[in-house]
Amino acid sequence: MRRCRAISESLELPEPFDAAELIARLATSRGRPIDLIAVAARPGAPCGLLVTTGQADYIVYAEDTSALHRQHILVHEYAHLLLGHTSEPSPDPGLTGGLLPNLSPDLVKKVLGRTVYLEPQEQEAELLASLILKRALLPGGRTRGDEWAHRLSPLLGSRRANGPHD
Amino acid sequence: MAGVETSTLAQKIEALFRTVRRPNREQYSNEDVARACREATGETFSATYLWQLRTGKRDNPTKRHLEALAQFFNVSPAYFFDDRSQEIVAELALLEALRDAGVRNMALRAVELSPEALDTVSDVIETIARREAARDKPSR
Repeated sequence: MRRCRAISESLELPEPFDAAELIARLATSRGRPIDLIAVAARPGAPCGLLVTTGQADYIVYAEDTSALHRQHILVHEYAHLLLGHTSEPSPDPGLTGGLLPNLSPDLVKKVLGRTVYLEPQEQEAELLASLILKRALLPGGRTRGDEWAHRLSPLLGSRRANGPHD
Repeated sequence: MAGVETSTLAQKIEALFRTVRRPNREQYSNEDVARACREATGETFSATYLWQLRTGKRDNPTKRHLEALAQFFNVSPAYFFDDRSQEIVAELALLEALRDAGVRNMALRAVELSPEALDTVSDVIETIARREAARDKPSR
């Protein structure tokens, strides 16, 4: 929780907010491509997907949904990347999780020739995504500190306000 | 993509050969597999017979033969018999696509996907495989 909050507050968000722009900036700073692939939303299909290969990361997102939902999907997958979920070993050695429930983990490992981590930490990514979106949706992209200053300003301002009015 | 149509026996066996390979990525030979099935069942199981099954020239193997094939390729016998067969077909196709695209990691929010949804994911992975191949030979 603290880690997500710290990451969220350290980010410089595009204004006006745009998830694709945020992702493009990350690709530039990492020097590793992040491709966005739009797909048609299908019932029962995942609305967002992050796939990592040796050369790039691919964010797959449902295109025909609301703008807000689309931004949410993109920011969620972006959060996985920021949190390093695709580069660190998964704590769950079950490998295939819910994606290939009818295949044995041994088979999956044999075919792919290595350990593949599916379904990394969804909750952490979702928490970071919601913190980023909350910041993005605050008017003027205020940080939490600014927000408090803003809320307190009527109180603090009563003293400062004296100046100009005098 | 084969979609969610029912696969024939020959297609199912062929998919096993295509997806599950030797450590050096070469496909197993009919003889390799036939020998293993002979040993597992104690029955006759020739390379020619297996070739006939793979090509659809024969489609009446015994239950024990199919179980031996499933065991060799490390899939559940349900692949050949049960209601779960289509799920296993779709998952094998996805597994093959993951291998071909060189996927290392994958994150998605969905606990259980229908065979149709798995097909969508497989299609996406195939798209990624094509983009990866294009990266390998840049600037033509």
